Amino acid sequence: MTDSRLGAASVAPSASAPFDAVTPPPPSPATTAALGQRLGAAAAVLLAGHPAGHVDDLLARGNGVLADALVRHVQQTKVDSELWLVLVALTAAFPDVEFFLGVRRSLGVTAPEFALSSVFETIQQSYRPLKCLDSELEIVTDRPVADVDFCAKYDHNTGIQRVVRETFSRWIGDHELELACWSAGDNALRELSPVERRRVVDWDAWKQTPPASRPTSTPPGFRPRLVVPYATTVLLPEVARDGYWSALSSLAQFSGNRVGLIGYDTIPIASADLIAENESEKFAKYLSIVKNADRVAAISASAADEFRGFARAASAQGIPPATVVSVPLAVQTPTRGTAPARRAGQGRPASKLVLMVGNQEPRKNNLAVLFAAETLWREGLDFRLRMIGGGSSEYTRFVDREVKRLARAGHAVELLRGAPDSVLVDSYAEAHCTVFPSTHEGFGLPVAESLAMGVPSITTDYGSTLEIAEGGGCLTVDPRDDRQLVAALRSMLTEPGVHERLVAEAEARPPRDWNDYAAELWHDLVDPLERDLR
Amino acid sequence: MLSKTVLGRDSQPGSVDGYLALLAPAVEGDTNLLWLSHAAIAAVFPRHDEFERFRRDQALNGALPALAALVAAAKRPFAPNRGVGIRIATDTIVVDVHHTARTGLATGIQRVVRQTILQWQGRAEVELVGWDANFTGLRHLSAPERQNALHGSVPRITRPRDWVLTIPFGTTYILPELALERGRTDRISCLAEFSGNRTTVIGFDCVPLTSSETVGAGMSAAFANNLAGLAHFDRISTISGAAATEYRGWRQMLSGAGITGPEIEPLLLPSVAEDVSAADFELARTRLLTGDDPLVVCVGSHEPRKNHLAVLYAAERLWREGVRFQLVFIGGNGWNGDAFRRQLERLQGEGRPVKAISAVSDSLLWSAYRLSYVTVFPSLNEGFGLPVGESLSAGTPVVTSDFGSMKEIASGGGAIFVDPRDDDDVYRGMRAGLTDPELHARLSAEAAALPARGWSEYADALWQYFVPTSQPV
Repeated sequence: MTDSRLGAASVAPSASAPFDAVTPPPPSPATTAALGQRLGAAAAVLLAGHPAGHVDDLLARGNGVLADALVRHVQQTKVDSELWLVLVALTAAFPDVEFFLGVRRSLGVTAPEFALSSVFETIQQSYRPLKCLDSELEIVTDRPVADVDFCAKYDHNTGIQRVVRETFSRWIGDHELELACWSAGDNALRELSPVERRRVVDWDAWKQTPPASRPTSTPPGFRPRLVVPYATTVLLPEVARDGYWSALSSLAQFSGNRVGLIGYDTIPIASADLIAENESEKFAKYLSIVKNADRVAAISASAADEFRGFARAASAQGIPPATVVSVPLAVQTPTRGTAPARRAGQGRPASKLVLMVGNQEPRKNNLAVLFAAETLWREGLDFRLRMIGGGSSEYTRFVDREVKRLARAGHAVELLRGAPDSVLVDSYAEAHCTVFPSTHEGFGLPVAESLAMGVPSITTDYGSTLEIAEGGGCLTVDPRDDRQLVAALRSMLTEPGVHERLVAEAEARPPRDWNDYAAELWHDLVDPLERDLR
Repeated sequence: MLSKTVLGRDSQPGSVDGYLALLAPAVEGDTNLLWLSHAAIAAVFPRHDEFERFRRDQALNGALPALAALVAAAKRPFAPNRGVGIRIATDTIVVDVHHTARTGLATGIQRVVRQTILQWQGRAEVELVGWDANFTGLRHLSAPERQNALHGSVPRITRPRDWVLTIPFGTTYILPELALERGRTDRISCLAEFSGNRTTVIGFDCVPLTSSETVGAGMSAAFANNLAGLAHFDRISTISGAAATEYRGWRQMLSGAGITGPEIEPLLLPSVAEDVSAADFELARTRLLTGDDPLVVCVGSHEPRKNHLAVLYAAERLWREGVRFQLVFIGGNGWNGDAFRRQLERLQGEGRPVKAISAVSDSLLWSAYRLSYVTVFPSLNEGFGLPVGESLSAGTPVVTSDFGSMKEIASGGGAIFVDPRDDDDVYRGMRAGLTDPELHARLSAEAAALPARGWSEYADALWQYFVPTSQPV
């Protein structure tokens, strides 16, 4: 077998074609050299038992000779993790489950001298575009590898991205870590460019850079190495995009790495009726990774319970359940940025402000809040209701309609979409209380935020919001019982003693910042995985 | 009719307004009666958001104006079920077999539904119902639909033009099939949460949730909606302990939504061998067998979850070693079966005795179980591994997975258990079944000695669980 055949394997025509096979162009010298580098790196790990110079001797005789030696080696040892590594080196891609099993089976019924060609045949039949054949790789064995794909590539910064950026900007100074994102063609993990790295670990400074003067993510000539975790910890702190689930599920099953992830919630399954269908579909695919993971650090005890439930359901397939722990998120109060503070008392109306922060969607229960407010207005209570948050679903239209109707009837209600943080901060400063009777949250951020700002909150009497409420400063209600919501809001508005007590409780809550979260997450998620390995 | 159910009498006030005046004070603040009123006046089962809007309207403005608004909406020229009459079912047990009544399919689920309702035919209170074309509510089945529900003999017939909305109230609603249609699951969910009826369902499996990698696009989302519809049910009877484990895991996931979820108990399906006439058996023999080598049969559609590639791998190894046997796959084309077909054709091209048969009759299937020396079923996840039970009931040993429902069904003996994710273990299991005559004899004897449990026992136990106050027939 020659080098040229090897480099072009993915486009080699079928031997049984009834017409003259088109001869593929020979691979570029760079492609051939990259393959040699990858095979050499894999051999350094897998053929380490051989005398010094053995691998060099093989490589000197050509890439094909070394590939053949590696494939025969894994055919003999039958160790999944070794086969996984050889396939990564050959294809410059993390194998998906179907392809991995296809190769494993073909090796099981093929004579050693045909082993390599049977692998090529399976590669060809997998029809997966291989876009990284000219990439070199680095096999990472001595430190955790974290997939921070979305945070590295996009400037978006809400929920999950905030958790990832706050965490990794702290970890990167304290621990040995390899950050990675997905390569061209979503084939494999690769190293980050300097800009991508800044986006993850230096977000605050990055977002201060005016967009016009930001350098491009991947500068011309940027030729990233693939990052190949082997016998180490792989961390998945984001909810992996749907294109990655098969390769990641395969990694969790076969690569021998230990996989740990942050579990945010299972809302797309457990509250599927309140969610767009494609979200449920994508999340179910994501769960195929969770099913094969070793450890999950959920963002609340309630979310931990949900992930344990899923692990329990999957145990019917004879899959050992992941260990699930809970590491509650930090609470960061919003800052007003550079916007000027509104002077106290300036144009401030006399009536109390009730604030609701969050998107308008069925789960957030905005219509119940509007109902409670209307009930109390009709009773003659004087207060204002302000809702801050986006919305895009059909539910948003119902909310809009109700808000309009109430405003026309002369009630003090307003709905702010796309309001800047400064408006949020001012609203908290002004608020008498907040309401957040969500039916399902992984972590009720608006409640935690409100309490950290010293504003008492009315929230849900179960799940993650109850966990937060237990620290003081809240009235809790069954979000499916409108009467309880009405009673709580009435009490908050009309009983000064209750309100004062809750304000005092809110102010007495111990702060929990991102340093706390990052340290605990490392201790409860990464340390145990690393201990298992080393 | 509504006033008769709500007030216990129909005082015939003579006008709609008169009725509303009587009804309003009776239903105000009573969630179950509000649901009933909504369904009866609109002649449409409400969805969750519609019902919440109505309930809030009556809380803010009083029941009379809220009911009057419903009446006004129902009278609009284009109101959905303007001309549809209603019937309030308070003394029947309503069994929703919508899909079974209309489908031409006869897979595992339809089989369970049909065998169960056949057994329930003697119970006078059972009322078979389906849905209208737009999934706005339940209706009594037409005679041919009923025929198809019970026997599968008249699929896809036209729906009756005139239909009456059947509103269960104060009774039991039984859903023995898998409901995936969005409008249907939405309205069932609302019924379960607010109507006050006892709501019960057969739980088959949670494969689209727990093995999403093995199902086609869109299935997981549809199934998640089905689950959301079941969250407010009272009872789920699962077809195996493994399925109960899956549903209980899902119920634990509901904790974050503050929902307790249904009571969940397993009730293992029966496996009943069917007789085959001598003539059919001979026909099957000619169709299935080539030569005298022992037959290995693998039953199930070709999809990744069934693990047929592992069976082909194990078979190829055995043939290469010189073990003599012939392999027949029986099952339709499922999802993503390309790789299977490719391997099958390759092995056939190499002269291996293997074939795949789809679209088989019951007599061919049962002949195959009896003609087999051993069957193989190393599936990755099953709510109930039907071919395991069927093989054993025919007295044929089976090589199957060492967990889940497959292990449960074969726990009484007759099986060789393997790790289906380890191809070489599947190979070892098949090798032992084919080459160890003593083991084979022992497993065959175990299979023959398994106690027979029939559909009547299953259907009775299911009825007792769903309608616990009832007396055995």
